[in-house]
Amino acid sequence: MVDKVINICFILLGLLFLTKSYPLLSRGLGSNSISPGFFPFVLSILLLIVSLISLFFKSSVYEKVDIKRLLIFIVAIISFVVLSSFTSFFIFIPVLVAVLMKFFNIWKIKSYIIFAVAFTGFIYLLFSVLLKVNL
Amino acid sequence: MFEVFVSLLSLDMLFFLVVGVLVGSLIGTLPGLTATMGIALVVPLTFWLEPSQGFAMLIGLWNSAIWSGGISAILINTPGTPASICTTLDGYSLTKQGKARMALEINTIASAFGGLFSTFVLILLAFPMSRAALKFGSSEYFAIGVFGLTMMISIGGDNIMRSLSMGLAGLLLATIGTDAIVGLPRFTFGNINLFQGINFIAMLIGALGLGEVFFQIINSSRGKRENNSIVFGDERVGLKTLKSISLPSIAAAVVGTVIGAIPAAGGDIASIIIWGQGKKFSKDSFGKGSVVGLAVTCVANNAVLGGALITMLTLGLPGDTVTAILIGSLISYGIQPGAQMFQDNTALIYTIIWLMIFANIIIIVYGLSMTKLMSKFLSLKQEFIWVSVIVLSIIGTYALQYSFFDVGVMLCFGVLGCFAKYYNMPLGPLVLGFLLEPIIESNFNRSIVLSYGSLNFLWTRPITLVLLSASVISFLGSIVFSRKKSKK
Repeated sequence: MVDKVINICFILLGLLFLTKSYPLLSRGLGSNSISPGFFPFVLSILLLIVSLISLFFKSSVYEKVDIKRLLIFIVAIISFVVLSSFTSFFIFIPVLVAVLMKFFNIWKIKSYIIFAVAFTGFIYLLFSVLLKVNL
Repeated sequence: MFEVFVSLLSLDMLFFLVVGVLVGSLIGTLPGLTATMGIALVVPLTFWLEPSQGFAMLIGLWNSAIWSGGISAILINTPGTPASICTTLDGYSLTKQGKARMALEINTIASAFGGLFSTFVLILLAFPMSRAALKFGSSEYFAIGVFGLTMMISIGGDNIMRSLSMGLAGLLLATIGTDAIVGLPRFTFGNINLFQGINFIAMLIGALGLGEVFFQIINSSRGKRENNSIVFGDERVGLKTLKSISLPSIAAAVVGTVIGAIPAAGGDIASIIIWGQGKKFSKDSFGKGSVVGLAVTCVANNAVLGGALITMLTLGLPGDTVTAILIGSLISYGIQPGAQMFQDNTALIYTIIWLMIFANIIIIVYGLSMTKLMSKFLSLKQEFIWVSVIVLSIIGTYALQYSFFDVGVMLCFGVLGCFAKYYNMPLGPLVLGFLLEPIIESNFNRSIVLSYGSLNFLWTRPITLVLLSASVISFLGSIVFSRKKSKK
């Protein structure tokens, strides 16, 4: 089943590029040159053919992915990125470290303080002082 | 070349090289952190440095990570990097026999020998090869691009069709952005951030760095590292041992360098072939703590690097994902790797060669004196490493162009990388397809224009014909091989 879903994703990707590249086929520079749509058009047809053939292959069996764990984790990271975009990364690095330590069940206040201070300091030294990146 | 040597002795160059070796040893020793991931994370930092300084860090990291991947393989039977899979076979047996110290010393000496040998071959072959490559036209470069991608697809995994789909997806994703010939935006959906295409480094950090961490996090309950009760022993490498491993090591170095030069064939393939052949022909009992078995795999792992550099520097073709990142890094510096680089940036070529030599010398000194200390890395909690990698991935990507869009791209590829690893979708063809698309498309277009709209350049140019035939044969051969394998 998973393999079928993956192949359907490839088919959708192929269809997207096929439909978007078709109008570009007529935008070439002359009779001897290739239009900007030609290459993606051919590639998307190839991808469609390969994915359609693969649809008929026997699916492998996979272990179930712990989607919930991954989702919580991604939400935490996206929140960190969004909040940092309004202020500064340095404010939210200790917050993200705390959330992740809780999430990984390794929370201890002493370890947190040492790690958060050392790591934020390291990032500050590396990016702001050494590389002069404005974070 | 001597002037470059003198400039390398400057304090800042040595500093960046040593930093690269130290970071590489940490990354290589820790199972799960691969050389590719390390390089992907460090690349954004190098953009603020001079190309030679940046390359000092990357070359140091690359050599060191491949070497130190053998440390966890020897001590805890877990390869630190995929290239050291075969190191576990004899290395861990030696540890169980109480000879861990000797095994670690063999790993260091053999790895450095492999690296130095392949650098010597690089010096011998790179310049003549680049002169030959200068005669290549656009049709040959188109064929080289196709050949490189086909090789990666052919050996990219058990499922050839899946590898092919990933390669095609990589090619398609690379077409996003402004077209190089007409200057027309393609597949940008009106998003101004996509006019320059998907940022290659952001994609790499996501797919190969963050994706790996995501994968480890959702699998974290399945295995815990242990490094208790390691007996290092007092036995050390003596002259007798060195003598016994010398000839097989030279053979392994030759084969490793050749395999490294083949596009897409990396250290894991080299060490598996060398170990398998060694077992057939050697009198030593491979797999039961053979010092020869251990030495040949370690030599092959690092000999691959010089071989991969030959292909990368002379043809501009990535041998594996690490060289793909190195090429991306060179392009970001405004340098196009390939034969022309030998004309325009000879100093950088010499710098890379010297850096390879220096990196391996540092590895010998550092490895022989600090290995016991490095084994302490294994007691680091992986959760802290995950947190560090996540934050570094985000900030490193943002710092590339001060773009939160790039961070979003990186996160998307992180999720894709995680699922790809989970569902056996090889990322190599995707990355290589993405990197090779501009080479393949622009040279194909140029060839068409030069042959007045005809496709006859495909069969009238001998090198093009040979390379394209080799691509077809390797692809069909791998399909037949995988069908036979699945029937068994």
